[in-house]
Amino acid sequence: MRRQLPLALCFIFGVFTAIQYYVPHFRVQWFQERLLQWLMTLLAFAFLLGTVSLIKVHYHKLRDRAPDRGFSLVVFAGLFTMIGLGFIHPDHHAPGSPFNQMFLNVQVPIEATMFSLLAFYVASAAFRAFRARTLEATLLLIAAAIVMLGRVPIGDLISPKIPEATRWILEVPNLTAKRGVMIGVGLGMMATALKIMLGIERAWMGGSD
Amino acid sequence: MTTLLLATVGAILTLCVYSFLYKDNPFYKFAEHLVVGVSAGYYLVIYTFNFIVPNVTDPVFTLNLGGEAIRLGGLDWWMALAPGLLGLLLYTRFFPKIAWIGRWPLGIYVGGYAGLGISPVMQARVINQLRAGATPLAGTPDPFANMTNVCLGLVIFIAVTYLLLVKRQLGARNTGAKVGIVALAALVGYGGYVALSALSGAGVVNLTNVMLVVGLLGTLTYFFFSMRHTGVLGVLARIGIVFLMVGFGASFGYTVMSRISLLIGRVGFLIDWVGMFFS
Repeated sequence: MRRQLPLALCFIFGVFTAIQYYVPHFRVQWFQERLLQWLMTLLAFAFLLGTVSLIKVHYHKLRDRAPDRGFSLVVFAGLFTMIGLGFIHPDHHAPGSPFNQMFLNVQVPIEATMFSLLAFYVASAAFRAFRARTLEATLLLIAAAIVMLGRVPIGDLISPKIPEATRWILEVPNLTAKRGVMIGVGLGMMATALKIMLGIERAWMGGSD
Repeated sequence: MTTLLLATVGAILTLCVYSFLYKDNPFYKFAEHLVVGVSAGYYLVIYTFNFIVPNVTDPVFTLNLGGEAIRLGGLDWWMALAPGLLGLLLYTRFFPKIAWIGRWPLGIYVGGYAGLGISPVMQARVINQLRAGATPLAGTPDPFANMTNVCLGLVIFIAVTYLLLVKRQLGARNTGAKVGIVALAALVGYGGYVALSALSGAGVVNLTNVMLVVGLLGTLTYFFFSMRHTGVLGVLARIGIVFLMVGFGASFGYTVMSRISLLIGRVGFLIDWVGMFFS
């Protein structure tokens, strides 16, 4: 009951969603549509569960008077402001709505800036790691340099051949390498899906009884 | 005024995040914690209104499924109630004695998505990629002929130089002899380039497609661990590594450029924000 039923549910629903592609009967497709709604709804409930965990973690920090507990208040302020604005304002998707303004003027700038920070760290990591010691490292270095130069106007100013070489690198050696990796990843994904469905892979159930 | 105020909020938060370039500090931590809270709240609202409200609460409590009325206790009503109940079962993990019940919805979710992925993954990631990789090796126009020929000419030059100068030495003890050997290698490489250009230009072979096929076989061989990489497999795996390295280099370059483009965007935003005070 504790382990067998979840495994059985996993197998039954896995087999159903896998074979429904080959059964165009309207009843099967009707159930498949409902099942997709179920899965999306479960995802939403799981996200709510994650939010509850987040609240628990920061509540415990405040209760235990942990160092930097003031930042937990910042998390709560952001979280409850967004929830409040989202639930109070009925049309939260509307441009100009408070919910949308918070998204555009708080979340978007911070996330974009955090990603742009990586430009500095990627550059410094590359400076330390890129050494043309072997043939493979040299190829990586040359390919990266050509692609970077080819994507900016100065590359074209140096030589029109550089953007052409960039296009060639992206569409010939890069494409074929990515294609090989993608086929490998695809086969791996299918194997993992089958392992999950057949109960060989059970990590999702957790360790305890 | 509102625009300036909102832009100021965005600009201050941007500066808070950039302060991390100096070192970890309270301004950065403030922005970091704020974005955690705000994004959790954002997705909570979006998921609730996009999935829970239309799929569960609307049909179960107001008997309205996608704008159509449904019957209380009918099949549609039960089908809407089921994911709601299953979703609530996820929360049993907060009660250790009945936490195992939370595995039931998890089993449906994990199994459902595992099965759902098999056919599309097989189609998109395996069959379509193999089909795209199976290109004609001759008699088709080659848009990359020139660049491919240059590259192969260079490979011939480097290989000949390596074999003559490094592997064999050929008695090239003095600089003059070494220069002569490199010149010879350049001649052979250029000859190779001309020969390959003539071959592909005449439509006898499509060297780019040959490269695509050989690169794909090499990459797949490199990831094939069931046999020792010796002999032909070893050569193919080595070719695969070369293609993979060029691919990784290209991905790295592309990633750096996308991050720099974001950086330019943020700096542009800050400049515009400063400009707002003077306009």
